[in-house]
Amino acid sequence: MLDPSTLRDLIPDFQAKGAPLATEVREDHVYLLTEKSKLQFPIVPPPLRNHGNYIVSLNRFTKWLTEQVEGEGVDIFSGFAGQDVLMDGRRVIGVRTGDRGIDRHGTHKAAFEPGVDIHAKLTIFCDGVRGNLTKELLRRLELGRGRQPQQFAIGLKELWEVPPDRLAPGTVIHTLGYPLRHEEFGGAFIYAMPAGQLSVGFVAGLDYHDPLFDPHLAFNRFKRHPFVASLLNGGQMIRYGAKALPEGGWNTIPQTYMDGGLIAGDAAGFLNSMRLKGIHLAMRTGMLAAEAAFDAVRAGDTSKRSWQIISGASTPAPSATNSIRYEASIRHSAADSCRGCCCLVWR
Amino acid sequence: MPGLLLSGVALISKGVLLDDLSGHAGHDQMKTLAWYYGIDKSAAAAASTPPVDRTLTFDKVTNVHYSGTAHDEDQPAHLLVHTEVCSTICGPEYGHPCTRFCPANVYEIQHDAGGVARLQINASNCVHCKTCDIMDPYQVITWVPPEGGGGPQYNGM
Repeated sequence: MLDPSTLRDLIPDFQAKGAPLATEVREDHVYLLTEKSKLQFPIVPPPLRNHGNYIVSLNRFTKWLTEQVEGEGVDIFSGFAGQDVLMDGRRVIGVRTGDRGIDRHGTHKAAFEPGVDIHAKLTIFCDGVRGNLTKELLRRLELGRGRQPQQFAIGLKELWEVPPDRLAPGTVIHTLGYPLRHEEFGGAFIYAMPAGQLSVGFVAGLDYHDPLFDPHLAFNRFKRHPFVASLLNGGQMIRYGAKALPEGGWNTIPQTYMDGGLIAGDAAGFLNSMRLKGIHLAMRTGMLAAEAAFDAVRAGDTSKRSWQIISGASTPAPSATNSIRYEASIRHSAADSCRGCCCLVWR
Repeated sequence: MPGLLLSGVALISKGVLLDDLSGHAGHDQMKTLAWYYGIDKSAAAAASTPPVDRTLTFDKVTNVHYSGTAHDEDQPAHLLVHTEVCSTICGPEYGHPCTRFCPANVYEIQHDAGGVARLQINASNCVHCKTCDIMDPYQVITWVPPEGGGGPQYNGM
């Protein structure tokens, strides 16, 4: 589900450029499930009202974004991962990529290629939820100090092809309750796309008490619920995926700036768990980081101090007055959408 | 559920109320088998029965096939685990929860001839969801990137 607000700012003519937005949301339903039946919420809670949003395939959407970016002359290198953060004291100076061609016993194969050190004036970390590099930064620079610990959930999703008369494209269903018990947090979603494609997903908080709880098993129970089974029976599952989600919200976002580095997107926990949306915040924080980076690199100062100017803690250097509003703008843009989530950390 | 209501209060009050509730790391919330089930192991057995019919519901291995995940098999496991915890503490206390919270059947417990539990890591099944790095109660699992290019495909997802 994509809130197009950020996309509109980034690429105003996204429709003309053929953005692969499968379908616009037309109907919202929220149900409380019991083991055998369902109870419809008389009103859809405001954060779950999705008019104006789009159901997208994130896979297709990011491929399209890649084309747009490369069309502007930006190089994207993929196919290798950042393995380690390179640091000089407390300053980030770049990233080391992983070695290639090591066998299962740790010995070098004929095609061995050592990882390379990539040095940069500024590194922006967007390594996603529980990113391995961001995790290291949080530990080494104590960026989470004074913040709440991040709260996570696991999301499982299947893509189904069912007879096209089951749900009208653009129908969005959210459920609470069964198969989760009172003590477990989570819910499920069904999004209807054109040509009988359904995106069926299930989310469970990673703070459950029962050591025998199995999210995948709970997802299976959800699909066997009479209401869900009536939508899926006779159809075919064509894709499966799973991903953790950072859903702690505002009070769990760590310090997102450091000497020579910024953190954006899911890596920093920018996801609005009340609205169940994070794509637009990932894009927004990425844009803010890019703007801040542009000014900082041009002014020749990517130190932590330059990012902190906005807090008034230090005297702004003239060269950097217009530079790093990253933290400030992030707080401004995310405040509206993230604040409500703060309580989820307590539950 | 209670948290959802509270978050509603915070949302409506624009964060003025309930702005700063304290939280705990999620993995600390998991209880031991003895705490949760007491001596009634039958409840525990019922909880682990999977309803799988392969048309509506699937086992994890079948599901993983549909994620299109692929890794070069001949590389070190990209999940670093202090496995000495598995048979000595984690099994008796939590019943190897990694075998359940992993949605891709990466973790399997096998018993050797002496009946000692040994963790088998099917790293090439991994769909890079990071749940194990987060939820393992002893925090002894570390996810590191596998060799470049490996991972789920998610075409059309």
